[in-house]
Amino acid sequence: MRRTFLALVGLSVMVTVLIGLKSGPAASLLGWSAESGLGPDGTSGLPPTGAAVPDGATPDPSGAAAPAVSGSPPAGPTASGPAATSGPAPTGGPAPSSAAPPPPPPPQTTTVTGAAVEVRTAQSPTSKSEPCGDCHDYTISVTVTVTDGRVTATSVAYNPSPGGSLSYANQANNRLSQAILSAQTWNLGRVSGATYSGNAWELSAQDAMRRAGLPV
Amino acid sequence: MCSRAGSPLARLTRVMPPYGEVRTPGRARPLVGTGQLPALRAHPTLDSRSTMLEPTAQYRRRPRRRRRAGQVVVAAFWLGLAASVASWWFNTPTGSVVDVGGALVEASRITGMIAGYVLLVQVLMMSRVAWLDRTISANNLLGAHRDLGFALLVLVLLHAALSVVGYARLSGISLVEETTLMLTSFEDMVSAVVATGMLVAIGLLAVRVVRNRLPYELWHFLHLSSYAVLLLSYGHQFAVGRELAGDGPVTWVWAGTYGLVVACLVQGRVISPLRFNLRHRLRVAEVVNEGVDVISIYIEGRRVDEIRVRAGQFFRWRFLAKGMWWQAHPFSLSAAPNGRWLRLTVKAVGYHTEQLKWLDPGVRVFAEGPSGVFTADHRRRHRALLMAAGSGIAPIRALLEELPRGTVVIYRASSVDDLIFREELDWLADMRDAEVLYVLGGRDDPGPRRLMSPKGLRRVVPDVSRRDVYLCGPEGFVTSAVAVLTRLRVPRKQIHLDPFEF
Repeated sequence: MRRTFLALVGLSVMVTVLIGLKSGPAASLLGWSAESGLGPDGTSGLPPTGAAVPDGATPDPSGAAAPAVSGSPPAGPTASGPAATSGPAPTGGPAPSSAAPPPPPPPQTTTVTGAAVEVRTAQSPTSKSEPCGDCHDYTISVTVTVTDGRVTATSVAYNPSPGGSLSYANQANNRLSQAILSAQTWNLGRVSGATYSGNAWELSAQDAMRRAGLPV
Repeated sequence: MCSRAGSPLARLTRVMPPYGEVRTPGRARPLVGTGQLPALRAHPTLDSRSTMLEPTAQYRRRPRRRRRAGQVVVAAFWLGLAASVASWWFNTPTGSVVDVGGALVEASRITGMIAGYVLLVQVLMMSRVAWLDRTISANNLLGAHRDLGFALLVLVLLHAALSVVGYARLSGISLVEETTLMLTSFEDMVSAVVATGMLVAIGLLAVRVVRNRLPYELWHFLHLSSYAVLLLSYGHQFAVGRELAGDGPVTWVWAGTYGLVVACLVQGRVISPLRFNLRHRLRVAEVVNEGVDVISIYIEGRRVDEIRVRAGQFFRWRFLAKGMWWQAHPFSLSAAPNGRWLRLTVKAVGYHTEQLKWLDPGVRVFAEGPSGVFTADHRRRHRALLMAAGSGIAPIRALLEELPRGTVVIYRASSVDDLIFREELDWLADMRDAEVLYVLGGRDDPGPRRLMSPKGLRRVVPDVSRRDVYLCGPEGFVTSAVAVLTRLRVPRKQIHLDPFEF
């Protein structure tokens, strides 16, 4: 019997470790560092927001030099906002024209589709006695539109249709897509009534946001 | 045949009385029987003298092969357990556990898979299928069954609790609401709950205190409801279990395993015994008195020489006579198989064994087996030490015929009148160059106490750590013997125990 007790204790430890290894970036749960998410690593080409703002930093010398040359461009360092000054290129000025700042890019809007996450519903929650005709395996795929580092719109695609669970899935989608716009994070807590598809929605959104370069 | 000091036999068999005196062995009671077979005092085994020599080629097997088989089975168990957990592992996306509710649900899935696996293993262990019964000692099987049973109960309760709490947290509803939702919305959950309740009841009944208060047959009958547990829990695993709800390979393998276990059950409990008994049609030939309240039952039948049984193994005997047919009891063979009859020796300790004394010759016998690994070919060393107490002498007496020269037998008994097989043992000692030591007295008498101490035992058997030790007797005797042997540094694998109490 002592062996059994030891075995059960070992089992509890093993279960905890296994679940810990599968836990996601919500470090509040276990304090473990997050492992990578669903899809391959790598950004989609949009540089991460915090990394660099190369466009706005109009080099001072050219701004200062400009008035010396022509006087028309606006005073340099007070270039405000990301919509930076159209980079003047004073020809012939002492400022090296090769260092002329590139035109600041327009506000970038990216649309990224997250990975399709499988949802396995056991049965439509409303019908116990029906045969399992409403059992579905389908995938949720959330498409996220990111503008200037903020989520501005989402849309969802099911493949194939959730069948009887469609109304529940749509309810969940409505609430979640509203919530993500205000919270700007994919971890939106749980939506009661659509446990499975709610969870999968968030996972897919997480993947989309990560691919779009947002910190998740 | 009395052995007196000075005769050649006295060299080989020694009676060690408790107080240092030699006492004349008393005479056995008058024989009971029809006289069809030679009576005890005329050495029935003398008729089959050829089997007293070295084991025949049919029975000669290398010990090494047997040992591995047990290890393979144990390794397969752990492999299956790992596979069950692996099916959860590969089915869970990394990073998908993000809150406490999710973690609890995943824990409930792991415990569910393991519990399902352990339940299958439990049923398989008790299926009496040949490749299990003849590879792993009945002792170990029973011990593992008890331990795993307790673990199973804990796992199932954990699984249920974790599911309810986990899903309740995920959905943000109360525990009561979640339980109601589970029972009403999901297939086969009601039967799963019933199965859990039955498992709890079986677990409570299996507690030693409760078990001893019930008559064994009733307890066994109630325990058989564990088959219903297997049946009732099947549904929800496949309907609701995430690992098994899809149509992938895991589902098919799991369902296939269920099928295999049921097949083994049918084979071990129904098909194999039926085939054995229809082929051999065993009957009681003779009931012979061996001593005080001890009888030997000789069983004969058709093609007895084709029964593949070794000395030290046992059958579960069911005597098809009035009042006895509904019980099956395990008894070891008390003589090595000789191709003509089988003999079992029983001490009348309860109602059923008391009734066995009055068996009529000709009564049909339904035997299940043979089972057990308490055999000569399971030993690791060449020589052996046999230790028996009370009616544990039965398989020891049989083993003595199949072990090589130089075997030492220690026979513990309270008094001379309790000794059985005295003449046979003396004769065998002579023929096979074995040493038989009768140690009489209670546990605290000086003779036995001296013997059951490391120094005393080593004096009697100097090379004990290089021998295989076969022990058979009541629990107290076996425990103290194992303790002494361990202190003498006899490797645990060289100590063989016969399951004495079922």
